[in-house]
Amino acid sequence: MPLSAFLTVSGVLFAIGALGVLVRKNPLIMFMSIELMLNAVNLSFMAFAHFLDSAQGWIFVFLTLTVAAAEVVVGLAIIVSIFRSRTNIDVDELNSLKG
Amino acid sequence: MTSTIGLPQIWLLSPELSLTLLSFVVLGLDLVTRRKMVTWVTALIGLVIPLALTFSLAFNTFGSRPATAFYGMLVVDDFAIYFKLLFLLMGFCVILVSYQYIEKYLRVTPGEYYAIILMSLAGMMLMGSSGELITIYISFELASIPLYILAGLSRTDTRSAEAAVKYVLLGAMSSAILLYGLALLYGATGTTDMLEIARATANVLHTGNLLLIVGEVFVFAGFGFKVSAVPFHMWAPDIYEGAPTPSTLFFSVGSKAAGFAALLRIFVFSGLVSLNNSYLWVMVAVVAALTMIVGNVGALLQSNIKRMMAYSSIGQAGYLLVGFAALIIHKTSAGSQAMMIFLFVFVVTNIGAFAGIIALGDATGRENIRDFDGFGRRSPWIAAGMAVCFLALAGIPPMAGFLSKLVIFWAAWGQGSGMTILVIIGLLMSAVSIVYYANVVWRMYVIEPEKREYIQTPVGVGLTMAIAVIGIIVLTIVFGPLLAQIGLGANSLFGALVH
Repeated sequence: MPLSAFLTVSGVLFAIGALGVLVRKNPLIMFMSIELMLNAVNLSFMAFAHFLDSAQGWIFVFLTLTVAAAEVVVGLAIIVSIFRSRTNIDVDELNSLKG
Repeated sequence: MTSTIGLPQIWLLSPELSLTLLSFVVLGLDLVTRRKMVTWVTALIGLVIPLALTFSLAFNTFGSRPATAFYGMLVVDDFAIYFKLLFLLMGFCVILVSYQYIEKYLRVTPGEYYAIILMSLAGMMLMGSSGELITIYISFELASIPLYILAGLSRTDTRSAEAAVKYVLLGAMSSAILLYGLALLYGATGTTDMLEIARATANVLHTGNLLLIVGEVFVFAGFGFKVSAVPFHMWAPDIYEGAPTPSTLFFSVGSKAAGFAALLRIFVFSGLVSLNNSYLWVMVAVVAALTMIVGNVGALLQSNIKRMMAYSSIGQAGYLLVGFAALIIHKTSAGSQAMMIFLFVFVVTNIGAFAGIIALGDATGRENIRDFDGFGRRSPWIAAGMAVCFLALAGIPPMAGFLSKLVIFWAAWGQGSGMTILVIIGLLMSAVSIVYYANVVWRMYVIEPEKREYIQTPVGVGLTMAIAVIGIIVLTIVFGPLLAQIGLGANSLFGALVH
């Protein structure tokens, strides 16, 4: 398969993820969408690394996975802490800050 | 470039390493002692170690070539050292100002709070001295993830939790966008090393290279979130308002300085600005104009002082982007030099302004612009310092804020009609900004307060205010020599391309 096939899939996945973050209202689903975006990027890294025959792309993927895990840990902890103070985590109801 | 990991390489990394170790020590102190003062003082005094190590790097002349370590992943040049020093000053002031506030309003052990700040600080310092796309992404996350926690630290306050959720969702999305940009840069050039990227792109008139163009746009968007440039600025006011005020100070100065340091590093050091790229200039110029307009007009409409500071810092990011646009079109260090000194002045003045907000918030728990009525009589010294900082932010001559704005606009002036329009927008918006800055000063001194009792100022806040005011005065006096010195740092970023 040509490189462009991988890049197209990666781009489409990234767009779906971005759309999910913008459209969905549940922070957990939004987090899933962000993971989709990150993994779409990982796909392009791996495709580039394979076709350019360079190892840096593979290493980047490893580090991205680790960092994404750390980010999700913090994000879920924050969502749990907001869930404690209210029973609903719909982002539309997070509206005490505006102006 | 040596292939081993030995003492010379460790030494180049030592400021960040010692800062990380310090954060662990501070975190561990919670187990040993219950006295909050001990943790605070340890964190403050401990910052001397990374500072001394940074100075030891600064006084070692590397010659015209930057020192690199770990296969070029880490670059230590004048530019990196300048930002390391700026971040250490910032970290010192943020920790200094926090003590009473976190004891009163946050139910966390203090070690946690200081350790998180120190970790984020290490990430910010690395952002300025990354020589690789991988390093820049990792340090970007190291600087950002602690900030999400800081936003939500006030666990009993629903506004704080809300700010944290918004911050972590938008922050994670922006880092995904940045990462996509980095992937495309890697794909277009076949390497993640910035100097290699510079070499790979130097011979190409790449007007047709779609990967590189889209990659640049995505990287700019990722950092645009970090510095709250306009299409990505929506997070700033909500998060500034909801987060505990000392954390807000840290977001305001830290996030912005680190974002611009990394933006300059990646665009200049990897040679992207040296290319024939008018599309990039158009994008940056439009974003800069929008950022200045939205920031300064938005600040006029606010009633909460933290929201006002958020919009004001968006406006300041707009001026910085004018410098960046000048850099792209001019392709010399004049633009980056102007941005570097502007950031210094921005950091010092913002620290002073927030020290005043913290002083009032600490005593009364209120943070509306209205609550500053008669502040000049209730707390004369803090109010005087705050007035100096606000007037410096507004750019009243002859203060440092005026000089740094002048340098930015000077670098941009006469670089074609597009840049001239940007400068004119910038000057108009500076005039608008005087209205809302002066409004606060006017309220502090002219309007009669509801209550007249004297406001007690905690020692840390007073000291921070003193540092900020002395900093502004010193910056104003030594502005010329400092600018020349910063020019070396700005050149070091370009110098690597010559070799």
